[in-house]
Amino acid sequence: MKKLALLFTTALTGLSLSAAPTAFDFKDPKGVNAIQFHLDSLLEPIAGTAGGVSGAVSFDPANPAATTGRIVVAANSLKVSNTMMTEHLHGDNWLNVAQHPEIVFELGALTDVKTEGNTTSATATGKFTLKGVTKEISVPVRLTHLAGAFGKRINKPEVPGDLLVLRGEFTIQRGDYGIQPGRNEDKVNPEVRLTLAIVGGPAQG
Amino acid sequence: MSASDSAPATHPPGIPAWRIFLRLLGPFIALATFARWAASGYNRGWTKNRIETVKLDEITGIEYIEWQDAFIPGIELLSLGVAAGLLLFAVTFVPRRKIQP
Repeated sequence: MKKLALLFTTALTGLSLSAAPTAFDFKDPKGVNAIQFHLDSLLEPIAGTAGGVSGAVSFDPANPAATTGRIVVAANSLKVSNTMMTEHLHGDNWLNVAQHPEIVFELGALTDVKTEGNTTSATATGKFTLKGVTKEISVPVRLTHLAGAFGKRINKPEVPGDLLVLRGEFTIQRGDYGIQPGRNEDKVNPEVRLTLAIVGGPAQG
Repeated sequence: MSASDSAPATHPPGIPAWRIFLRLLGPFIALATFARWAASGYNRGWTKNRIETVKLDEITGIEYIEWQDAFIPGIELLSLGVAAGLLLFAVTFVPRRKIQP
């Protein structure tokens, strides 16, 4: 009887451990992570990237709806194909990166969760902070859980760990975040499209 | 052979050397700017000093952008170069001021 109780306890402990959410660190050692932005403007669209991605997401493949997390982008990592234009973008009139160094998305809840295989589609609702203005937004996201793929990605297959790929696309109005509201709309579209495709690896510690 | 054939080439009378120089330099600047712009792929956007290359992270399937330094003149540099060249050329046709005695 004692043996049975011990077996049961061990099985329960094992089950709870395997079902525990895993923390994923989105500071990618390979430097792949970036948010891409795109807005139409006079002459040609302005497109660029923001590579300074960090943050952590806690994800449980057995219960994706319980996902929590926070993704941070360093505002001064935004760059476009022209250095002068990049400096303008960082300046006081646009993002004012000196005063607002971080762009943050804080996940509040995942809704409409659908899982097929290792991919979960959902709507992520959370607080998006840009240039010091925080607004609640909903973003359609896709989370792909790649079990045991971390070591393979860093060319050390013996290293254990999973990967979590996060994809999404959404649109914001720059004026809502105090970026030249109502100004230069004939030259630079007020609508900014943001696309993210980022990967998180096992969090240290 | 006539006498005029063997005579050394002379500039039209009354055209100073600086006018001739600018008359050649102006079109050269305009053409060189156009040639540089055309050789870089007729970029009808703004000047770029880095270009993006799309790469694929094989394990995750993420397509990411890698920036590389490159100079691609845009429409504003083309306009500036051609305008400067034409201006230099045009300046050579401005009549000399007559000095009043």
